[in-house]
Amino acid sequence: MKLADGLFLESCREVAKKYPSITYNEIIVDNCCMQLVAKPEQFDVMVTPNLYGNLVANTAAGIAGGTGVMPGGNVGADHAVFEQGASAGNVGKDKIVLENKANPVALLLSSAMMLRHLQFPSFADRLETAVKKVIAEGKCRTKDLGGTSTTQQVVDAVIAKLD
Amino acid sequence: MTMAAFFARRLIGNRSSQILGTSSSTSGAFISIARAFSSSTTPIKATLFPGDGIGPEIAESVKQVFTAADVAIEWDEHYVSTEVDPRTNSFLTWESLQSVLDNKVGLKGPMATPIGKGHRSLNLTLRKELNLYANVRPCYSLPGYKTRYDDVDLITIRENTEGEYSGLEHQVVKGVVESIKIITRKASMRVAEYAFLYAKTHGRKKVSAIHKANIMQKTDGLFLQCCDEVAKKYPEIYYEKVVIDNCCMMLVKNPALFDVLVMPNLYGDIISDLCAGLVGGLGLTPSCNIGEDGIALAEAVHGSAPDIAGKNLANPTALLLSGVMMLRHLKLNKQAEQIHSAIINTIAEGKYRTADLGGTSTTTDFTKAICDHL
Repeated sequence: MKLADGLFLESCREVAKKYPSITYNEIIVDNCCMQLVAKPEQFDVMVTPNLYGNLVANTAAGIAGGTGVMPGGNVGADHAVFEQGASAGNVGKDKIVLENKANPVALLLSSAMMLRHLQFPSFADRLETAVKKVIAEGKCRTKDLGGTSTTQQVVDAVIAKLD
Repeated sequence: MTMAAFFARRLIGNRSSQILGTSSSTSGAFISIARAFSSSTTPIKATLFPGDGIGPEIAESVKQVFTAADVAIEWDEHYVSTEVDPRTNSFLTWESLQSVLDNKVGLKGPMATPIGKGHRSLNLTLRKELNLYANVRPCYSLPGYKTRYDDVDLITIRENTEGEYSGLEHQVVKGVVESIKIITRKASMRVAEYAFLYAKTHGRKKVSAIHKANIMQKTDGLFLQCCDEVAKKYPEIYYEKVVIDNCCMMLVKNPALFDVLVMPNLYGDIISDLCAGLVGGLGLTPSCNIGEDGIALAEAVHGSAPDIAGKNLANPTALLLSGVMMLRHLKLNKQAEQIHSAIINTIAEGKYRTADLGGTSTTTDFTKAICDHL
């Protein structure tokens, strides 16, 4: 899509010039998905137009553990709203809520992003570290991560790990 | 049925379309005619485009393996010209295109579109002139070639003529561009019919239609409607609709959830490459383009790799597996299976592997190993 995506690329290139210390490259979206699946470590920050971003975010979420763990935020000129990064699967399922199986990690990490945005980095770090410790330990995980814990149990574990 | 139309045409002559009615892809009458003639031993003519770069070497591998397996195919070779043919406005000559239209079946290696303006890209030329409406890519884990995913066994079927790639873009004002996505009932029905027919004839159990109809309610909505309609005709096949973002995530978390996927153009482009990545990349992925009137053009979708051209290093697997798809389309299933098993076993054995698979064999050694495995 030479004109549409072409315009997007032109814009990215213009901005990239202002940040010469940051490596900038371009990749076609189908090749990108293929590379993500084979070697995701080659990517750092990815900026995309709307539809591709949806697909790439969900692909990346799948590789990183699923929508239950991926944080996200929506940023505007005047406001910012933080929510889980990828939408597939963990949304709108009343059954999961009733069974208390929803994974709170994504939203907890999103709130850590919000704290960072509000310039409270130490609070953000504390929250993130606690969450990561709980997941790393592996004892308290909801169903989507292969465990049997309830939402509340995960939250309690995170609180317990906060220093 | 594509195959029936092919045989009917060849052996009865071109009057067949008048005798038997239209050559629509799902006419049941054709199938019985095909069975009557399918034991013919006259060689079938197939167009071969070796392509550029490593193309000629891997095409040579295909010819060798096919000969070793006694496949009754007579290759009609065509090359990309060095000048633009005004009749086609491309580097592909009118004769090349006519050859595929006549033979109804072909195999294509990688072609590098020459840079420059004033002519159509090679792939676009083929697609438009041969009316190739569906791109079919089977993706399955190759035993012996380890990737993060072991249990992939799916087929992506991508609508290849319209959608987001209709080529309709314009600038509204400076800094604002519009791109038009077109979905038609005709094209959606056509690819949906093919997908379900493919699923049925290849014994697949499930067809998933991939879409974003929650947002693009009219375009993807129409595509889904067509899939719904066709699904009703195949009650024995399980049909589901999956939103594209869910699909991406499910594919990387658990690709075994999918069987046959049917998608409009853009999603198909992205998903089929994603799936190729799951099993080892484009160097191992076969594909086949289906056209109106039963045309099938199998092709290797990897690049021409000019840096290793002529060095006997190229991996012919993608082109060979595409050749196998071509044989299955021609209903030469026994030999298709033979060659397919030989390839799988050679790779699984691990003794002969080309550099891209982590081995040290040359193209010729690898080819010979496959022939030995037949």
